[in-house]
Amino acid sequence: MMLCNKASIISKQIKSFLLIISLSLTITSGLISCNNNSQNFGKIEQKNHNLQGRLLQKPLIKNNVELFDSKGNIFSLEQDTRNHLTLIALGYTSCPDICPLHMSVLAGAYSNLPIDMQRKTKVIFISTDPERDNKKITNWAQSFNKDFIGLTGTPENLIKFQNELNIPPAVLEKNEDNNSNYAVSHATWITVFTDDNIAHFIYPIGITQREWVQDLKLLNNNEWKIKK
Amino acid sequence: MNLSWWCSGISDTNWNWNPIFYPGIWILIAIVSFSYFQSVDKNNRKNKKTLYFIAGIILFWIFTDWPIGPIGAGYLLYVHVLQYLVYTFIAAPLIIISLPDKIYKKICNSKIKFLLQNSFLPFFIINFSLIITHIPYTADILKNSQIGTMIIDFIWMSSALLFWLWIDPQFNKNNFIPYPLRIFYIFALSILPAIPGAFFVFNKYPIYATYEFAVPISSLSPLADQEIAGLIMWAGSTPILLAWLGIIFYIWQKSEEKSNQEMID
Repeated sequence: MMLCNKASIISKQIKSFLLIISLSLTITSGLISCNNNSQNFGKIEQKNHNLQGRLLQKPLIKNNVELFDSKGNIFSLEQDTRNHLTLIALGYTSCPDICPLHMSVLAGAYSNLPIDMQRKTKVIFISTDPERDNKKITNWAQSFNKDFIGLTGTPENLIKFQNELNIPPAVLEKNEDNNSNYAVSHATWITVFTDDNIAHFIYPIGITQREWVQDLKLLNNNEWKIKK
Repeated sequence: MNLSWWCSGISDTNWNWNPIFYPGIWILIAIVSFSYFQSVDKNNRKNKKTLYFIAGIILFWIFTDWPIGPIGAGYLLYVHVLQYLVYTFIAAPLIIISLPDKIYKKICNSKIKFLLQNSFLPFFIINFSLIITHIPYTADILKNSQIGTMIIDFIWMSSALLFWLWIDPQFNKNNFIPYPLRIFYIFALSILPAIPGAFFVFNKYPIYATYEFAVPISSLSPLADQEIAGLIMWAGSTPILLAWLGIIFYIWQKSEEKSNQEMID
């Protein structure tokens, strides 16, 4: 009698166990795979296009402001990125949070692009702190991905460059004691030029790697659309 | 201006090694420890059970308080997974086996006993809590605030305490869960963590926005961090659960020997 009771308990519990395991498997796989885009940063309002970025009312064109890399090589956005999908981020290498975060997300997305798309895409990080970064900006950018381009410029050219892209110029938050440990306030969005050399979109921080990959594929294939 | 568009260079999300005091954790540990020692007879305070309790509560404290707590909550996923394993598979069972007779009697006279005796609900709850706290949607929402993180810790710890109480041979003196079934449930407990573990390891992208957009505090990329977390989730629970299986098996053998001896006598 005792044995029968035990056997019946075991049988019931095993049945229930199997039921729960199968339910759990279904719920876990379903929910985990469906929620990869679930984050709240940088939501875009009133989207009338199929991208995560924000549509510029007045598209921007590439400029010819002179910038340079750590070796002193001159770089022109207009000439050196012609007909390439070009992503431009601003910041500085001592930035404790946003800049490395941005570059880390872009590096993750870039490495998930097919090779032919990587060849057609240029990721450029421009330091707004030339005094501290002019010798290390290229290495810093390439520490995220060897294909990334790190640039800076003279203070005047950097202001001109930012103005050309409708970006409020960065501000060096230097103290009166001229301490070299200062922060730089700067725009965090990424300006994206398509292969027609025109920027139609800017991207705030908070776009996930998965979303970047989706958008970069659409942008590379010219499959992005604006609803009228 | 929103951080999505402008970086002022000064942010409260940056990690630094200046200790932060979380009074809630200290108060909780003080209350639990005080209640425990109040329930133990003065003569029995220097036995093995007290050592188990101290080990369990210290582990809980270390993995909840600064720096591991905040790092796991908002910076590194693999630390979050370590927290889960320590809470669920080490701290909780140590606390359960340390419970004094007084507390067991109280539980046996409460409604919890009915819940533990008549269903396999604790097994369901511990697995459900694993799933619900690792779904990106809920995890990202909860990990956005200190209260949310506290809720996750509470869910993990309470579901683990319930499960180990259900398995505990001392509580199960009436043998309402046969030993083979207990061994089976402990073994089964190691299966489910492999599912989020596999998602962590094989996903091409970071799953959680919390960790993808965490300010970097090491050279690990969010994806590498996620892969390490997956491996820990996958393989980390197995050796610990094997150790508990061995202990339960040993107790089972002893109880069988004892009942055989009683029958012979």
